Amino acid sequence: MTKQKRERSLTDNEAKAVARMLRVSPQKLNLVAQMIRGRKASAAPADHQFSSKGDVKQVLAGPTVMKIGSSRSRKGKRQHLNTQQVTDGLQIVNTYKKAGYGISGVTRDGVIIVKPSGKPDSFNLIQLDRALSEVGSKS
Amino acid sequence: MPTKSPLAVFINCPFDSRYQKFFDAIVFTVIRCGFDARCAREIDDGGGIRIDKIMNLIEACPYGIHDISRTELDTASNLPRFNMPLELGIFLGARRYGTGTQKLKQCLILDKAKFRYQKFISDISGQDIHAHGNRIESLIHEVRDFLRTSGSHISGGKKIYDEYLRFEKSKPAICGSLELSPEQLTYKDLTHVIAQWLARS
Repeated sequence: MTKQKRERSLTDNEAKAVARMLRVSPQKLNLVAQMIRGRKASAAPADHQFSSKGDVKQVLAGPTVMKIGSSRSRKGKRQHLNTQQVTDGLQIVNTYKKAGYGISGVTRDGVIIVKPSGKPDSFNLIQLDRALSEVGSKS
Repeated sequence: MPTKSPLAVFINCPFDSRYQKFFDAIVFTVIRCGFDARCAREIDDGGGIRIDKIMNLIEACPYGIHDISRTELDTASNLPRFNMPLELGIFLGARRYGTGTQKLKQCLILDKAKFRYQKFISDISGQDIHAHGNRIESLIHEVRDFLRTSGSHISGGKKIYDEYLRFEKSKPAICGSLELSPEQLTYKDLTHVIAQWLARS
């Protein structure tokens, strides 16, 4: 008698990646992970490319983004990281950097949101990130 | 010589509470279109000569949005408010007499009615003055249409207006999480909140 096939615990449009023993603090890693959590597989690598957390990006590039990038989409086709997209993204980041701008993210229609100059007066960016997460999860 | 801040947009408009919603809408649209919103509010540090700081800001910005719709008598002092026309004049002067990239400056001049300006600042006749009719939706359309020349694809004014309404709806909750009231947000706070909100939505 053969062993019964285990049912897939995740739906077709979900993917799960597990990474252990990462040399990075959970708090820092989570800041970047929050950027792509729940996002479409095609949008996640682009978002991730515009993150300023350089060392964490390296960590996430392996286990998380690659796994998300190769997960099965709703249509059942495999999605892969579009290397051209990534290259273009890096070029854009470099162009903005040269002009003295940081990037906050990209809108759905592809507009790059420039990071405002200076720091906020009443809070720091971690607090803002947390506040937006709270509001986003409630709405 | 390349401009130091090629995406900087100088916002010249009133800062009173009656205009606050219009101001927020301009800042939102500028950031939404992929530009860097700059205005005199960011230099409220008390040190140095204010006009010098404003001129430095104007020099750094290749784009300008000037709303002269509130060039009217102040209810308290019964005197006209000249800050907006003055800053518009400096901007136009920089374009006229400046060198290099200063000559490439572009500006959008807004008023509440199309030909109202002829009664109080007729010397700018010949400029293309846009009317927003004191409506935020029209204002967003005008600002978006002005900035769409940047080359990248920018959604239509209607969509940006809908996003602005969604942002305004969620602003009290965001401020609540930050233990602030929406009125307490400084200009820098506001730009960061808008940029992060847009990056996530």
